[in-house]
Amino acid sequence: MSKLLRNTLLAAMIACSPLATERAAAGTFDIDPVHSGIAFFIDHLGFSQVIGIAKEFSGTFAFDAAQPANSSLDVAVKVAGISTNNNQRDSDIQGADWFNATEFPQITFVGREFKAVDAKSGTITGDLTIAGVSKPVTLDVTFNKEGQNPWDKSHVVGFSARATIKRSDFGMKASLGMIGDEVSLLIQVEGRGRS
Amino acid sequence: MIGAAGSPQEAMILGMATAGFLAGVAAGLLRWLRTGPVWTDLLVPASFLVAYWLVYNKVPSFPPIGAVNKIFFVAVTGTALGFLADATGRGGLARALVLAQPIACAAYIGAARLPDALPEVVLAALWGLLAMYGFSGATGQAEHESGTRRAALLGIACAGFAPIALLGASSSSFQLSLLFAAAMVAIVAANISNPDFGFRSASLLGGMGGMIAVAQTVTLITRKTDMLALAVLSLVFVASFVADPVFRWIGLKNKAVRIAAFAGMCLLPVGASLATVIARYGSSFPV
Repeated sequence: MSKLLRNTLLAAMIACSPLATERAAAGTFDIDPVHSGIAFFIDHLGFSQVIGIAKEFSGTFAFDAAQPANSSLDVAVKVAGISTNNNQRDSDIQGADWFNATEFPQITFVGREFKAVDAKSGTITGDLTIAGVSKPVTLDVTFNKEGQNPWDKSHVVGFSARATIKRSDFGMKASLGMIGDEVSLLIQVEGRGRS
Repeated sequence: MIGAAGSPQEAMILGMATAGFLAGVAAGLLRWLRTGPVWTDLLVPASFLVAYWLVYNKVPSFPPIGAVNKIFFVAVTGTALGFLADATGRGGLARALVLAQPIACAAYIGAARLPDALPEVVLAALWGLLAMYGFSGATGQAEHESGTRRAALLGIACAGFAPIALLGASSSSFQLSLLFAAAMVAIVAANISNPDFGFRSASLLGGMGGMIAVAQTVTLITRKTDMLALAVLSLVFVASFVADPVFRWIGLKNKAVRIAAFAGMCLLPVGASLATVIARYGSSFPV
């Protein structure tokens, strides 16, 4: 058997192996809550932007840098874990006028369409569900880095994302005019690859 | 509404003025047309729905998502059923609906909390039933003034519930209560000497039933209701049973004075409820 034929057969066997298939497909990552964050900004009477954060969230995503369209994203945020640095207000926004945590304890986002703009940025359009109302929302995403975490050698990928939504689209119309309708979202995500 | 005002206080006053003006014009028009109690019975629930629209700026889609949207359909369904029951002369059915509605409403509004919070939902249903029973007894023995009495009582009860709603973290329910109260004031003023004013099943199911749904939403869903203040406020419905014996005892005969005196009696528990709220929450009361 010639050297060329031997190498060709070996390459074909590697290409057909399960390992090769796994690498060709998108990697699946779990959102690392320790190094990820979701913050929102909302206008207060034009004087300031009140900052809120989601303290409890989880999710997974699949990412394929070569074929972004094959990606996926599922995130769930626990409404009870939303904080705006004021206990009274944090308690109030759990009520029926706002997030309605009793009936809708989770906010979810499911990515539907993944587009790359260039090597470092893209968009994710998906269904954001707040207080039982689902609306399409597009996140502007920046790809930060993919590589190995030097501490534990895990496979990590990181993104930043921004979006602006209108709370009234989700039925939250309390105090419009005093408290802004537009809500800016700032998201930092670090995903750890599943081994 | 708020967008046209320069401050939250202006927005509230503007909203109340709008709700009161619309209710007053409609009440005056129906009185001028001498439409009779069957049609004037629609004034109260229509005012509730207008107040709801002014506060939430929307007619919810069906099926409703969440308790706040369910309130609208509780009122619409109640109005339709009450109107049909009265129009077809089915008094027994109307009475059964009036008493069944608060129970069904508690189960509907509190569905998300069942079965875990069954005792709370049962308690909310029982409170709604007692409130509706007491309220529907507001006729007393003075049938000819029952409509205006009921409208006055409903307006006062709504105004009394407003601070409880505000404290219960529901600024929308606070606004809705005050806007609806303003509409009731206008309706009472337009009909104080109108014997044809009807506050019948449509008003009971659509107006009072709608407000019971609001209270049950704040209690079961937002879950920040001051139960002591609500209990004190609920004494307002006892006035229905006390008024006539007191009026007979003091020999009060003039209708307008009797209604004013009735309203004064109703204001006692409202004041006590407000005092309870302020005493319990003091400076943290979100005024």
